[in-house]
Parts: sequence; structure tokens; C-alpha cells
Amino acid sequence: MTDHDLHTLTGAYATDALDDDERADFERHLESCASCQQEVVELRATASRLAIATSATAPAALRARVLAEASSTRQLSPLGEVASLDDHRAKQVSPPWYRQPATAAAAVLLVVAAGLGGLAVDQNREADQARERAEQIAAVAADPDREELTAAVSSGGTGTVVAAGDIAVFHGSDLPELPDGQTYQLWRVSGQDSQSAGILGRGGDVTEVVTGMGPEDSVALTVEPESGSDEPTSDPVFLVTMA
Amino acid sequence: MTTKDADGSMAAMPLRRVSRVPDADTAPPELDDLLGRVARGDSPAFEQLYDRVANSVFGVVRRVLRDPSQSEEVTQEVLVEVWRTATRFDADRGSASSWIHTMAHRRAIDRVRASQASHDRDQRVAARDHTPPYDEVADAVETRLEQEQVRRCLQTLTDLQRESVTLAYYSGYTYREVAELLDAPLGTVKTRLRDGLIRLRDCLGVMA
Repeated sequence: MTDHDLHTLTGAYATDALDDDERADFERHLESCASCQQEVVELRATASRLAIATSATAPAALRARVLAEASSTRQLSPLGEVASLDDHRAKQVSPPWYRQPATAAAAVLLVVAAGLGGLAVDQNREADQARERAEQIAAVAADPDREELTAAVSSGGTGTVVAAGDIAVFHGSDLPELPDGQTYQLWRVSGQDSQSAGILGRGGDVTEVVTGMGPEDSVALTVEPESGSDEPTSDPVFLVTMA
Repeated sequence: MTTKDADGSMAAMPLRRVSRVPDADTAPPELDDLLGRVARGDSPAFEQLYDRVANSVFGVVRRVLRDPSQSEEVTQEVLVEVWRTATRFDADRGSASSWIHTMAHRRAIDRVRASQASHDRDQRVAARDHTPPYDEVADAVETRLEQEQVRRCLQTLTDLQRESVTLAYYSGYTYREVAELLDAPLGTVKTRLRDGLIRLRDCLGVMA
């Protein structure tokens, strides 16, 4: 279909009158067509007036059921990007990822998520490793179902975890500088078992990928001797558990 | 005292869309504000939001689905989804009302396309009607005004525009199905859907 043909589909799109293939084609076109976006917004607003005009009294019992279900449904954390027009459609309710509720520190997450894709890679790493890590971070940052959490690191600074699938990305910012001979170390904790996820250096801003995350696993940050430890030798200064 | 014309009849008061021009002190909170509070986990705000949109969400879902119990189910799904994803609402991309009703319509369409065999849909053609029914309960003045205005604006459309828009939106047909039902060329229906909605937009004074 030509762009012009696609452009005339705004009406069919706004009334959900496209089949799945055409919808996908149109949405691709929409991403790069600002005037189409504007028109879709307006035509959807128009269509919603058609909805209001066909109001009918909802069954009285529905109210209590909706409120009850909502009260036991965890809200999504805010996304770090402009949600697409259809982001809200047809997503199944997913179980909560973290026991800790998302904080209101969404603003930090936005910056982190936006920055993740373009992170400068650690020059000390092999190129392949670095590339793989950058790809993992970009994939997590772009995953629409990712979960995010920001919390204070108990020794100072802030930790953010962005997770999708079995990958979690940890980003520490403003971590206080440790004395010579010490380093921050990141862990994946499964039950009694701790697996090192990386030695992060003496402080500042750090980012690391944790792979193989399971449903009950935690991401933990500890302070260790500078060469790192085989298992944590101190209490975590930051700990997030997946639920 | 009311003013009277020379012939004794009362002068018609201009109809004002009070609901669109709220008095800041007494008006109920705007839907967008409520949704913003819902996004921060405010349960009482969600209750208020429910009371504001439940009837229109249920109305449009039932209009598309027909089946009352399925409609109830989908309405519940939609409203819980509003709660769950309120954090993702972006006011720059349209109003809260538009966001919620777009979601509701889409869910109803998904359900009807997934679950209904084609012969069921043929039966729905027979049962179709093209304008918002008056008997559908309009408890709120706002809803009655809305119905009257939408009905009036639908009448400004050409027959083909109106049929295309209502078959697509209220009956849930794809534009290909609409073209077949109306025995019109595909390109024509596509265009009529668009220019019909544009005319409706202008008539209703919709602002994005």
C-alpha cells in the first residue's frame, strides 16, 4: 500500500475496522507520520463521543466486582517512553514482579531507561561481551512489559533495577566512593545460592546486567574486597526481590 | 421574571454545554484529573472514575457485543485495565475519555472477532440499527445532551458515511465487511469512514 493509501485508513483505524495485518501496517506508518497521528487522536476522540452517546446502565453488581478486582491488582510502573496509542490494549494482567511496590521515583527511571540503550560500554571488557551486554540492556529497556524499581542504596546513592524476562539491569547512581581496596559487587541470589553478576568498582555511576533471573530471585549489591568475592561477605546495601 | 417575546412565548435559552465549561469551584473533577489521581493509586478517585464512565463503557461494549453477560465481563476487564495501566496514560495523546473508550471499543472488537462465528455476525446485521437509541437509559443530563448532539451530527453525514461509520463502530465490522454489506467499493468505504468521522468531528467540535 502507498503512503497515501495508508493515510486514508485513519478512519478505519479509529473505528477498529482494520484486520490485524492492515492494523500492523498502519501502525508502522503511523510511527513516522505526524499528521496521521494527530488525525488519529482527533478521530478517536470523535469515536469516543459515539461511545458516550450509546451509554447504558451498567449492572449494579459490577461496581463492587470492579473495585474489588482493582484493589487486588497491582498498577503498572510508569513507562520510560511515550506509550503508543495502542499500548493499553489487550494486555493480560501480569503478576507483580517485585514484592516492593514501585516508588514514585519514575522520573529517575525515565532517565535511566532512556540512557540504557546508548550506554558507553566498559572499555575493559572484550568487544563481544560488551556488545552482548549493550544488546541485553537495549532489549530490556525497550521491552514494553519491563518492570522498574528505584530505591535508595543504604550506604548512599540510588539503585534502579529494570527487568524483563530473565534479565535484570542494575543501575547505581552516585554510589559513594569506597576506600582503596574495596569494591561494589552485584549478585543474583537464588535461595541460599549467590552468583556474582559483576564487580562494579569503587563508586559513582555503574550499570550491570544480571542474567538467569528466576521468579524468586533477588538482585543484591554488597561491598567486597577489591578483587571481588566468591560469595557475599557483607550485608547487602541494596536488595530487590522478584515476586 | 422570565423574558417573553412579543407573542408571549418564552425565549429559547441557548443551550450551553455546561459539562464542558466547568466552574472551578463546584464542578466535579475532570476525568483527566481523576485518571491522574488513579495513576497514583488513589482508590477513591477510581471509584469516582468508575461512576463517570461505567455506563458509557458498558454501553459501547454491549452495543458491539450484544450479549449482556459477555458485555459485563468485558466491561469489568476494561475498567480494571484502566486502573492497572493508568500510569501509562499520556495526556498529550488524547483525553482520558478518549483513552478509556478507545480501550473499551477495542476490547469489545477483539472479543467479537475472536469468539463469534460468522453466522452469528450475519444475524447481527439483521439486528443492526444505526443511531444511538434513546431508550438506552440516559440518566445523566450530560448523556442526554451527548445523545442528542451525536444523533443530530450523524444526520449531517451522507447516507454512505453514516452507514460506514455506524456499521464499523457500533456493529464492529471491518471496513471490508462494511464494503460487502453495503455493496460499495472498498476504497469508497475507506474514504467515507474517514471523511464521515471528520465531518462528525467538526460537527461535535471535538478538540484533540
